[in-house]
Amino acid sequence: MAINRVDYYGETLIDLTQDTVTPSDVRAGVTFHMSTGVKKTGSYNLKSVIIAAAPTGSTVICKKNAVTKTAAEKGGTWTFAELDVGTWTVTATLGSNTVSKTVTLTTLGQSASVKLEYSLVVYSSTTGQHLPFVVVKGGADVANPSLTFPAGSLSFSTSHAAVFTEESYDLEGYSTLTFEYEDNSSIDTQTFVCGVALKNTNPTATSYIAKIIKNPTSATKRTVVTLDISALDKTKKYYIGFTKFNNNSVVRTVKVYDWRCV
Amino acid sequence: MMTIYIDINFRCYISLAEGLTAIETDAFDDKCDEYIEGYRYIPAGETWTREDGAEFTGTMIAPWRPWNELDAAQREYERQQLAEALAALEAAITADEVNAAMREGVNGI
Repeated sequence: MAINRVDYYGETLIDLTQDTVTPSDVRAGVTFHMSTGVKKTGSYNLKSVIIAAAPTGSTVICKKNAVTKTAAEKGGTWTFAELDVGTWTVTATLGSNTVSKTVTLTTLGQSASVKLEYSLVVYSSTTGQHLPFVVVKGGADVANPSLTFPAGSLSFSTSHAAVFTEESYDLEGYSTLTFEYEDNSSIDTQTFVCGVALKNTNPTATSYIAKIIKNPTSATKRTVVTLDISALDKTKKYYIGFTKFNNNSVVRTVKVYDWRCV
Repeated sequence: MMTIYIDINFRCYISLAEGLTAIETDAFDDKCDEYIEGYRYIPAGETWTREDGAEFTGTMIAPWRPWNELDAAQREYERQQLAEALAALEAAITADEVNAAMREGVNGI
């Protein structure tokens, strides 16, 4: 007979009668006593959580096979609870931008985080992917500016000139412009500028709304520069470009390895 | 070329105050005060870490306030400059005309 209350000479030693616990509240396999005093085994299967961070305003879903989970945004994060172990694909969408990452949950009760960032590939020497470009002369004396794609890298050889995207782009959802490049002339000490602009016709530094400026004291080895573009007006579209300055007739070459907005 | 001032977060100011560092730059020539103070200027060799942990090394010049607000302030500033220039031009023309009329008057006596 189940016992749910024990009194001893008028004093209650234990009383389970008001307890509200049920099997679904207790982890599977763990025993407990109900308010009736009946011994039971818990049935709750501990679940896992994925916390996704993505640009605010995104729609984020979490999917495994036929199961799709949704969650509401709270300040740029989405929490997906009650997940089984296995590999989940977390996808964020904002306008025409989409990015996915997989998260593998190996144990019940695990909490995993994933950060999703949209990427606009301007140029990638790894994949060959690139946006259409235009070359802009810095003056009438500029000789033979050229833009070629040798051996998986973008070469830009001229004196004072710039490379801009042919079209302007909506940069909503992007916060950082990264540019991996090399000034490969041993005497190249002239200014290099990389940034975003409202026009793609003016190669001077003043045309850039946001920019990185490098004044190397010698040739710049392969390096990455980053630019904060998080405060740009999201209602406008921007040209993405770089300018190499020169004050003599020596040909300059800038090799680009990776150029993107994330 | 002008002098601006930056705080520890590399935000720009047009006036010197305690804790600010002076920078000589031509990056903001012809820009209004509000435009300048909406920008972040990271000098060469310095690094700023954004709230999300991303690091940016100078020289970097980028807005920290929404750029459309800065652009609107700059356009208004340029409209005022233009209006003042036109008013000055009108005043100059009027004075010249008065002088010419006075000379005509003298010649006519």
